[in-house]
Amino acid sequence: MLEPDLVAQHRQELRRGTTSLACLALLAQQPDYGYNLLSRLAGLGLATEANTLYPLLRRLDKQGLLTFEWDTSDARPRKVYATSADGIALVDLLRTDWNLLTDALNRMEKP
Amino acid sequence: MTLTERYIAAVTTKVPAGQREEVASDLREAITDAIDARLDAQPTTPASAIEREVLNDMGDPEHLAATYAERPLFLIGPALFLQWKRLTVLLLWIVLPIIAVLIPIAGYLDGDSWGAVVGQTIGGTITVGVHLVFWVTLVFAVLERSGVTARDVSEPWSVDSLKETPDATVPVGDTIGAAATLVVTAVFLIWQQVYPWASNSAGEGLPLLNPELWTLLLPALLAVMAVELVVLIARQVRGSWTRADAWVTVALNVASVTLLAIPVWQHQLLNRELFTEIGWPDAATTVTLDQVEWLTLVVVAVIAAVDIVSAVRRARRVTPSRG
Repeated sequence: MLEPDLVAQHRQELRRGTTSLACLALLAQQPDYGYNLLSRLAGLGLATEANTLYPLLRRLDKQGLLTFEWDTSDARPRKVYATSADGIALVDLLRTDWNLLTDALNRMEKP
Repeated sequence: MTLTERYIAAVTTKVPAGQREEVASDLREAITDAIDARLDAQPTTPASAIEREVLNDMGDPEHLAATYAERPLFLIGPALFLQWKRLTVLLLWIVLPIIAVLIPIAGYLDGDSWGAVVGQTIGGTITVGVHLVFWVTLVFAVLERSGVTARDVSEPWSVDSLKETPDATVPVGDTIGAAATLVVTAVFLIWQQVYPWASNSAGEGLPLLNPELWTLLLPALLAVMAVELVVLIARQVRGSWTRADAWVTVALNVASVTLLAIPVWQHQLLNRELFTEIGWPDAATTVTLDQVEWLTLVVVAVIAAVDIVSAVRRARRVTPSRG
């Protein structure tokens, strides 16, 4: 019988790092602000906590992978993030790596 | 001040001054968006309850501030932990035995009472140990935060660092040396009593050690030495160290040092009558018999400490399956 805690631990290890890739890919598709990005991630089954996502967006911005503009159309101004050219290049690289992993997994025989 | 503003203030005070404005506006956006979304989803819930819920989900402000500032949430991370542990353990092994010997000597030279010396030794050794761990840890915590890597503080590990003999064997030379020391000491103890090298005016022999000690302490010491000899030979026959050997070594050494310490403390290890007879120490020297006795005790205690340390180290190299 598989322990739920054990499964959760391995899932967490597997998903670590996927959040930044997902953010870069989603923001390349469509620039967005933090809260909407949280809903989009959740909709894809990649639910992320707000206290993880907002600092992550800031870090990716500092690394030059994201850019942002202030959206002042609403009563409250919001930061709208978009993936930079460097960010898009990184998404391409990581996507290739991911596909390599998927191919490798598919080539492994199922027990 | 609203609850949200209090939360934001709690986070921003913990991030570097240059980032405060940005982090505050980030958080204000995150929290108000989350509150609005939940209010839309559950219009019957009071706004204050929603605010509390959202802030609880954001979690400990200091944790969030550390995530923003990219500060580690640990004192010493996995990159430096082993270097920290090795240095701490090494320093404790080197420094504490020295302190544990120096404090009693200093106490004795000051003429402190026996109880006071024991208290000072225990208290002083603990204090030095706590200081040592504290300062080493502080240095490593600073290194951790200044971006120093393990490669900067030590050589990278390679197979050359493996121990040559993982299982401690028992060299025949060690056993013969230890056995010879025991036998010579035992023969000396008996010889100095049976064939005293001086006698008083009445022709009675005057042994070097106080003859009254034969009522209990010296026979006990000989018994401890006999047990030690049996353990030595048993170990040689077995051919390897065990964990039990280490404990027996500790017990035997503590017993020997204690048996020697009692007469030293009572100023009656050496036969005072003999020294009065031969007229030493005389006016030409400042050495006292007490000092000679204490020096003997210190030498024996140091040898015992070295013996204990090497026994524990050898026993630790024993693989569990054979221990």
